[in-house]
Amino acid sequence: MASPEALSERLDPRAIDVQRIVGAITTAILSLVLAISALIGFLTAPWPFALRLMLPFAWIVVSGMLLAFALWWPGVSWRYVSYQVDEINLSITRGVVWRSHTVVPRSRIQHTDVSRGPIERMYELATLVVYTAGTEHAAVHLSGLAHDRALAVRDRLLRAGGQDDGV
Amino acid sequence: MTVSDAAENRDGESQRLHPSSLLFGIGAVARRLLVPGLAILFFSRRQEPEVWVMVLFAPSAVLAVVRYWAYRYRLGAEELVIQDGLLTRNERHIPYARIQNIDLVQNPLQRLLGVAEARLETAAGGKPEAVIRVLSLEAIAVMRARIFVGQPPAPGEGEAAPERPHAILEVGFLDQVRYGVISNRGMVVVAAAIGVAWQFGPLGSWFEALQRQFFDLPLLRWGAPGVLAIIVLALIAATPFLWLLSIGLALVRLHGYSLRRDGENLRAEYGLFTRVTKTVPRHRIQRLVVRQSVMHRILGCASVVVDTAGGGSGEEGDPHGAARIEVVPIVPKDRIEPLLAELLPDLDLGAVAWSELAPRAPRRMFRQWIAVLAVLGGALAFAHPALALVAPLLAPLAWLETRARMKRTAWSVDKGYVCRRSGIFWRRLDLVRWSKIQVVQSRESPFDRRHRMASLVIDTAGAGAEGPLSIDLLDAGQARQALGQLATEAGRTAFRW
Repeated sequence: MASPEALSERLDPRAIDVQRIVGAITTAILSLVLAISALIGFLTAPWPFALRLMLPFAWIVVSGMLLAFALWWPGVSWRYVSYQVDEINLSITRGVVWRSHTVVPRSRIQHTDVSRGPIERMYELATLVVYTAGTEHAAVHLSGLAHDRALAVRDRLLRAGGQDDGV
Repeated sequence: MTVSDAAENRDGESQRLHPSSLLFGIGAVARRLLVPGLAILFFSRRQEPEVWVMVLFAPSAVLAVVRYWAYRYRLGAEELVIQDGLLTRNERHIPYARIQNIDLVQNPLQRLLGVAEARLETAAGGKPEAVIRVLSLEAIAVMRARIFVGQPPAPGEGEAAPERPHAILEVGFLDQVRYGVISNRGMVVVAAAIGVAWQFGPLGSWFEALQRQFFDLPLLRWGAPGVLAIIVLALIAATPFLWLLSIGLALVRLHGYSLRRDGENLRAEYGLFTRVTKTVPRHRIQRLVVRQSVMHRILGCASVVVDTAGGGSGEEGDPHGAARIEVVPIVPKDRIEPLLAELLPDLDLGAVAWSELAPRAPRRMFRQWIAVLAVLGGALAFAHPALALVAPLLAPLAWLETRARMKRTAWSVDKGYVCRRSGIFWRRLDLVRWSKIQVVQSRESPFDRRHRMASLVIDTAGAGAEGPLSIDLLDAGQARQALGQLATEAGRTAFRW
C-alpha cells in the first residue's frame, strides 16, 4: 500500500533497518527501566505472591509489544515518505497519521548539511538537511538517503543557487 | 562632523562615535546603579556611604569610557565595519545589501545635542546586529544614504520613476487618543508608579492603611461573592482612570507620528520625548497584518503590523519600549486601502478571488465546540449536578460562533499574494507576497483526512513571534491545488530580502 500522492523518489530501503535498530535500542532502554520498576514491585509490593508474579509476565508482554511495534512501524512509515527534486523545488511528503507535503523552493535554500550518525554510517546512509530563512521550517530534514544519493541531491540543489539573494 | 566631512570618508577611514557618547555611556551606568546606590546612601550604617557608591560606580564608568575609546566604525564601499572591545577585539562586517532596516532612537537630551542612537538589523534573528550609540544626525544621514542607496528595488516590486518623498499617513490628536483607548496601557504607568513609590515613598504604610480599610468594608461580610464584587467594582472604577493614563502615554509616544515614503523606503517618525525614526525598505516587508479588535471597530480604525526579516516586530521588553511599536500603530478605517496601496503597490485586494473554507468545516468546528462543552459540563457536574446544564445552554452560542467564524474566514492564493481574512472579535488580514515565501506545506491530521480537509502552512522569513501563516480547514483538493500553484510560482521568483 503506497500513500496516495507519492512523489517520484523513495528513501533507501536500508533506512528501514536503521530505524528498526534505533527503535530496538530505544525499546531496550525503555524496557530496562520497566524491568527495574517491575523488579522493585516484585520484591516490595504488599500483594499476594501470585499477584506479584504477574509483574514479570506483564513486563514480558509490554516489552514484547514495544519491540514488535519498533520493528513493524519503520516499514509502514517508510512507505509514506517520498521526495522529489525538480527544476524549481525540493518536495517531501511524509507522515502516516499526520501527513504533510512540504515544498522548499530551491531558490530559497541558504545552505545544506549532509550528516551521518554511527548507525547510518554502518548502512552507508545519510541525512540531508536543507536550511531556509523561514522560521518553523528553517531546517528541513530528509533522513534515510543513501550517502552518495544524498551528496548527489545536495549538489543538484546547490547548482541552482547563486544568482540572487538565495534566501 | 559635517556632512562634507563625513562624505569625504568615502571608503574607509575609521570613525569614532560622537563625543557625547561618553556622557550617555556613563549616564546609562549611573541609571543602572541608581537604585542600589540610593539604597546604600540611605540605609548604610557605615560611616562613608559615598565611598561605597564610588566603589560600585567607578569600575562601570571606567568600562563605559573604555568602550567609547575602543569603538570605531567604518563605512566601506560595500559594508559597514564595526570594531569594538579592548581585550577581546571584535570586528563585525555588515554588508549594506543585508541590512533590513534602520531604527533611530533619540531621548530628549540626545535631541538637545543633535545626536541619536542607530540600530541596524539584518535578517539574522534576535536583537539588532549593531546598536551604534550615539552618532550625530549628520553622520547618521550619511550612513543611511550609504546603506539604502545601494539597494535597487527588486524586479517588479518597485516603480522605475523616482518619486518625491511624501507623507503617507499622519496620526493626529484624535487618532492618538483612540490609540490610547485601544492599547489600554494604563496598567504600565500604574505599575511603574507603584515601583517608584515602593522604592522611595511611604507606600508600605499606605498599603497597611488600605488593608485596614479593606477589612472594614461591609461587602466583605458576604464572603467570596463580596470579594468578587469588590474586585469588579474596583476594575470598573479604575477603567476610565486607566484609559486616561493610557491616552496620556499614547499622546507622548505617538506625538507627531508621520509615515513617509521616499522611493522604496518607508520612514515612520514619532515620539514627544524619546523620538524614534524607523526606516524599512518597502520591498523588505515579508508579511503584513492588518488587525482590528472590537475596540478598533467601535472607534473605526485598525493597526498594521509589518514583519521584516530582522528580529521581532512589536516585541516588548525593549529598554526603549517606544522603539518597538507597530510601524503603523493606528490607521482610520477609510485610510487602510490607500495605505496598503503604498506599502504593497502590486497588491490588488479588490481583484483577489476569495475562497471559503471547506463546506464541511462548520460541522467540524461545531463538533469541536460540543466536545469542549461536554468536558466543561462534566467538570461542572462534579461541583453541582445542576451546573452541568450550562453546557447545553451554551450550545446555541457555540453554533453562532461557528457560523460567524465560517462567514468571516476567507483565503486566497491569487494575484501574487497569499491572503487570509479571519477572526470574529479580533479580526485580521494576513498578506504574504509569493516572492517572500520560504517554505509551503500542506498538512493533514487524521480528522482532516476523514473530512477531506487540509491545512496550508506558509512560512516566511519574517514570521515574527506568531510563527508561520497557517490556513486551516480547507478543502483538501483546493489546498493541494494552492500548494501546487505556490510551488511553481513562488519557486520561480528570485528572492531578495
